[in-house]
Amino acid sequence: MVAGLLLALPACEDDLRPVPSGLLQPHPVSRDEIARLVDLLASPVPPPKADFDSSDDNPKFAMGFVHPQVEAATTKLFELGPSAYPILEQELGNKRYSYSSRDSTWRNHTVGHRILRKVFAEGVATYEGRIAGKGTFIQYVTAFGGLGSWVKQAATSCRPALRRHYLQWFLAQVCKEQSVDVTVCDSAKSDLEKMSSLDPCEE
Amino acid sequence: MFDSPSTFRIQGDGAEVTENLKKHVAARMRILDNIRHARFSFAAGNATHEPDVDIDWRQDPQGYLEAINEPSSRISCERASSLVFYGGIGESFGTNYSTRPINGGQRIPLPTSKATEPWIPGDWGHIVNTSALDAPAQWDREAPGLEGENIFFLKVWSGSDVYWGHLNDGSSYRNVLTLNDWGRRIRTWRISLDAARPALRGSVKYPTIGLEPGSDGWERNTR
Repeated sequence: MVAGLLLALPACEDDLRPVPSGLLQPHPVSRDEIARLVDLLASPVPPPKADFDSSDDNPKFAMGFVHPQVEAATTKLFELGPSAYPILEQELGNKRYSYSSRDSTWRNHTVGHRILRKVFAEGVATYEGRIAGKGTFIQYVTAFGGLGSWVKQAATSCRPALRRHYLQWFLAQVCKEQSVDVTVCDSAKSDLEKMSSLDPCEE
Repeated sequence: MFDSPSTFRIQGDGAEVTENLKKHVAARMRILDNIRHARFSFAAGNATHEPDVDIDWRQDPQGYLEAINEPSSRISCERASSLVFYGGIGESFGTNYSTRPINGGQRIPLPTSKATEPWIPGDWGHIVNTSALDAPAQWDREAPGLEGENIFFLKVWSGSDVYWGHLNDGSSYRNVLTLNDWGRRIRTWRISLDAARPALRGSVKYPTIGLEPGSDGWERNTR
């Protein structure tokens, strides 16, 4: 089954092809408005638990913690789309506390991490986290010259086109490994096939 | 429990003791049953997904687990561990469990095929990726969700202790490994400048149903 899958893997293009400008919807907000939204990604309350604290003392925090203000600002920044990425990239080093997650233990995350995971990777690296340590967003962008280079190219694209590009890379690079879960790769292949009949920016 | 260097005091007197021992063993058996019947898939970070169901996991963790126990549910190792454990003891968080120290902090692979202190089936422990403790921001950025692995002791199988962890589809045989094999698996996790270094956390969670309250039903045997 793995051999069959390998034969059917799509080639991954070295660069993201710019999407025709007529298909793009430039973000209609100013740099100041983006700065205001980034400011709202900083949680108004401190983290409820310390980093790496796995105690179960409050069911309210069983799945982590995101303040509603942070949730709302994230949604707005996500909706701006990739043309806002170059401005957001400058905030990746922002170390203010933003939210907490709980995958294998409790973790507190920065504003920069929120932008990376919930604005850049969300909706693009759709198989990050499906196979432990493989197919991550950072591995993907590193394969194409690093995050800075990817942001520049992504700014002239749209999220569905970026997702298609990620899926091509995931299938060509991650799924060629023998140890990888075949059902995850079959699912990624099916996602890519569903996108093939759509316009580049169609969800 | 008889093999443990610890003493577990069962609650009650006379016939009550037998009943409470049965309750305690039953709780541990329910945890193991939940693991045996796991069908949910693995995911971390943005990829997690739980279907909407009409059951609140805080009120009825076992009912919730059964309602979402499908391959289309994608949950992290800690979430999976939480559901199988709290489902088994019948309440989320609450008072039906405690933690007891084990010989933690040891680097894995261990020099022997067994943990130096016996675990009891249904004990919930954790293997820490100490490399992520040393460089949390870097691991967060490059490989989110790989701070460690939650594991449950299942049984002695062919002379080795085996543990379940949720790292593949719930039903996968690849989720049942010895402690040393878990260590080897975790050591394959990498970021650009480092690799994972696994070590045992110094405590395990365990059910206290049927045990004497007050001291969590447990004390280290000084014999």
